[in-house]
Amino acid sequence: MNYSHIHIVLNHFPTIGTFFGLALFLYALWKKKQDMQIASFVTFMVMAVLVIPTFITGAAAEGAVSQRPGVNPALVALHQDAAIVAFTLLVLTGTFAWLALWQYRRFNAPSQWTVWTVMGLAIITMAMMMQTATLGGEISHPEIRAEGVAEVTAPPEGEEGIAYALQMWMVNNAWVWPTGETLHFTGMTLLFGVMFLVNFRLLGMLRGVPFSAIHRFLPLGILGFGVTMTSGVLMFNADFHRYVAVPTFFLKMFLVVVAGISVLYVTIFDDTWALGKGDGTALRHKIFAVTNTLLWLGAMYFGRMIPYLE
Amino acid sequence: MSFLLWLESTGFGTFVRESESLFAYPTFIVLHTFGLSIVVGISVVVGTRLMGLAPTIPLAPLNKLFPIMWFGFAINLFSGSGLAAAAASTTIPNPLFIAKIIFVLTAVAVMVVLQVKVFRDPEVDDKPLDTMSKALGGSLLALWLLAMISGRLITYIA
Repeated sequence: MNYSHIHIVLNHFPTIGTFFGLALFLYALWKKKQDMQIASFVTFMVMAVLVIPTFITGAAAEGAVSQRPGVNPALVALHQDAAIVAFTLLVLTGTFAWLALWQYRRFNAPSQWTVWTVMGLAIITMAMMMQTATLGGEISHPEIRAEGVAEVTAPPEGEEGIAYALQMWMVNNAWVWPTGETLHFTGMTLLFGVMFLVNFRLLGMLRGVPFSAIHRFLPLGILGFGVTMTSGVLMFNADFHRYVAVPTFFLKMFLVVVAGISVLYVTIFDDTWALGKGDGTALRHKIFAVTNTLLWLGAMYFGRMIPYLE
Repeated sequence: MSFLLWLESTGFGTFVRESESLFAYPTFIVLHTFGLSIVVGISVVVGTRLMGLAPTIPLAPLNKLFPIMWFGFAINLFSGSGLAAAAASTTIPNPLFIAKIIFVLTAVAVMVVLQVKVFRDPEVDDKPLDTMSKALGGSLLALWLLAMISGRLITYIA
């Protein structure tokens, strides 16, 4: 099993998952079913997390695939360019879907503007994801190629697309890379601060604080995750050949994916929300707290070790 | 300068700089990030709470977070000493390093004042928070941010 193989397995999630989430969302809207709407938000959020390894394994597959006979590298570049847009849109959809889940917990219902934002973003994401999937499929399947696709050539200088433009922006401006790194750390401190607060409470410390009060801090942690992820994606895009050569990087991202999905437990589950002032915590809360902390710390460890273990 | 060269040549400085072991430079860098995430991460929670986020969280129980923040700071004092000693003659005279240390020391002073004057006060949750406490919360965040920016830039601007 290599990264191309993993990419082919993973790429079904964001494409089919987004379609499934949107169908669920629209049906829930039509039938006014709240449970189903929550399920659609969860779907979008999980897909937004799973698109991260899809994107990364895609970049890892690029080198091997572009050099194969019969593969047009310009087509690979077109797919990659569509992918970075679809990726960004799905992550945004998932972020707003997460916000809707948080509002559902905090206010018993998501605000109208969040719901409509999720819908708008999901529709655009769906369109862009289909475009990306089609271009991706055409790389290795001549039988499904639209007419003329096989002959696409590399675009002329100055029209290379978004992924390339971002890469050049990162590489050609001396201040961008250190700023990206500083933002990566700043976002991390927001995420870790909130994560520590949540997990200390689940361990049974800070019993004087009801979980519902701690829950209000979650958006700050997600904001931190967003800042870290945005800066991380920009750095990855600018130098992805280096990152995909380091197994530690994949281990880091695996831990981020698991930790990211686990945030659902503290966002919507009654099991954490019900912890009131003075309440002790059960073994399962403590197990979650320890595991979640180790996942984030592990992600940080392997991330920081990338330059030394390559 | 001779002191800085001596510091570089100590066993500690030489180990961090020259040992091929993963427990040398890489581990000191990782520890510095771990400590940072603890002390600055929890400062984010404490600082934003003082500035008005999540006002339903009572302040008194948060006093228990301070020993953990000091633990994070201790990790960074140790790992930071190792990293500074390893390249003492070039790092320590760097104006960015000096600025960073000033930001860190001021942030530590703010933490002490917050712990002693605000969070240890048994009546802290019975009265509205004064402007001074809110300003200190905001300053703590600003100081850590400045320390992180100057610290990161040491690698780039010698």
